[in-house]
Amino acid sequence: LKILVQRRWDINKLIYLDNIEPSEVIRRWKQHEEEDEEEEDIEDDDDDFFKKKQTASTTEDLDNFIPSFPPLEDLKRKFNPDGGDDDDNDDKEYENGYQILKTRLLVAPKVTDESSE
Amino acid sequence: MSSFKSIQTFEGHRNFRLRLVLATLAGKPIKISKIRSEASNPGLTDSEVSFLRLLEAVTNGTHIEISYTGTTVIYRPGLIIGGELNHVCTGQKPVGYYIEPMLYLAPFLKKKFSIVFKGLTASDKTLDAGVESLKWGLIPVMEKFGVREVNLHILKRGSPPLGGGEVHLICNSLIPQPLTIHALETPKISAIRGVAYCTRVSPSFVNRMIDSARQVFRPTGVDVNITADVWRGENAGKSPGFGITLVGELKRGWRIVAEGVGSPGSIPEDLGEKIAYQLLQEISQSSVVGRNQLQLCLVFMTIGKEDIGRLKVHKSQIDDNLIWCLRDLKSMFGIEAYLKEDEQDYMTISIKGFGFTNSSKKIA
Repeated sequence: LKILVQRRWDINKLIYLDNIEPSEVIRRWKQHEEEDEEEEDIEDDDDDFFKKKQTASTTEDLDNFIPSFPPLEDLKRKFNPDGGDDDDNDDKEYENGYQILKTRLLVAPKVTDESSE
Repeated sequence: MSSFKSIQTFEGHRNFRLRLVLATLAGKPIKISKIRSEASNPGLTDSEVSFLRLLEAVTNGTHIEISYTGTTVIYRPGLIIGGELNHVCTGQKPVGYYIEPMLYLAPFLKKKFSIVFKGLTASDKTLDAGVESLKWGLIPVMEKFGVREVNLHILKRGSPPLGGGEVHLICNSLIPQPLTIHALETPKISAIRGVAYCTRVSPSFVNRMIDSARQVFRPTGVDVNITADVWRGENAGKSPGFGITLVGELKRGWRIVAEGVGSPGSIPEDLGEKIAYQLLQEISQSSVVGRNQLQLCLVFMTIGKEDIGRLKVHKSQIDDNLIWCLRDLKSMFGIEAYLKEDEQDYMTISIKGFGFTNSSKKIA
């Protein structure tokens, strides 16, 4: 009999658990987010539940100001005003970036080739 | 009762500057050990040592002990004094690496702050802040916390590798503690501004960067105004270089920034396009502030008045860096943040201020 385990991680408790690496905190929290959307069985995750703790690189600069960004090609695809409904890209993050952006703009977007000059 | 304060310990070189700044604000000694202890070139870098010297210069009574191998530092902060200083930025880091943490301390000094930083004004080799990013990205955020009259002037630009730049940081605003903010609405973008600069290369480089960036923004219909900033002669430093900083102007005075510096052999059009797309990405995945401004907000919210400050963030902004920052803040001030689900894709970070008092003011 398969029992559906519903682990719900509270990020406020996870954040300050010093024995859990921040990357692991994010992973567990994001997993919870996905569960809410899809109601998946999470038994498969037992394998990587006990995976080795990641250690920070000794040479990597861990004191940066500029955050990391996805590759330029991905960003071009995401912010393509002609449509973000590519069949080969189901990732939520990359679907319809221009639609998300439009909600933040104060003016109505105009998609024309006419030069303003 | 012992007169010695217990030492807060940290491991590794992560958030090196932030931890030292928090220790200075909290007036608590810290020990940072295992600094690149397993690297082939272990211990502190030249830039980190230079930053420690800068902290020593802006404070009075600071005591720094560095182990023989450089892998352990004990820092006992003194009183934040400020005053007029010059700092030659050594190492491979641009002046932004040194100026950024100074912005955290500048409003809480005893005297008004005036420092001239000499070195690289931007670098393509590191992910440190450029001067424009600090000017257009962090200083407007400081204004929200009641810190006004902070100015950053570029006297000379200095591109890598030889540098030769000079930047003047002035802070005439001394406050006892930051104001409490309640930023709970995602502001709209009213315009996109920016500056494209070049030193010792053809002025056409800036126009090429501007044109390619404008092409990316054109479908949005937002007002775009990017300034060309061409430096010539002695004020252009010792090396050729170019770069672009783009700013999304949000309503209520918030700003979101993206920046980039040209590498040898890179094409200005590519850089302009890349940074424009990065700005769109940052805007689409943020609420009130961008990822590079979040740390400053969290620190000022923590050391603010004993009232609850709230800041709306995008869920994608909850990342490793944010968690490390929150943990460091708890270690130094004992304050925990509370994250609450807001509408879809957004969360609210609530922090009850520590009730920090500018110690320089107390004895003044």
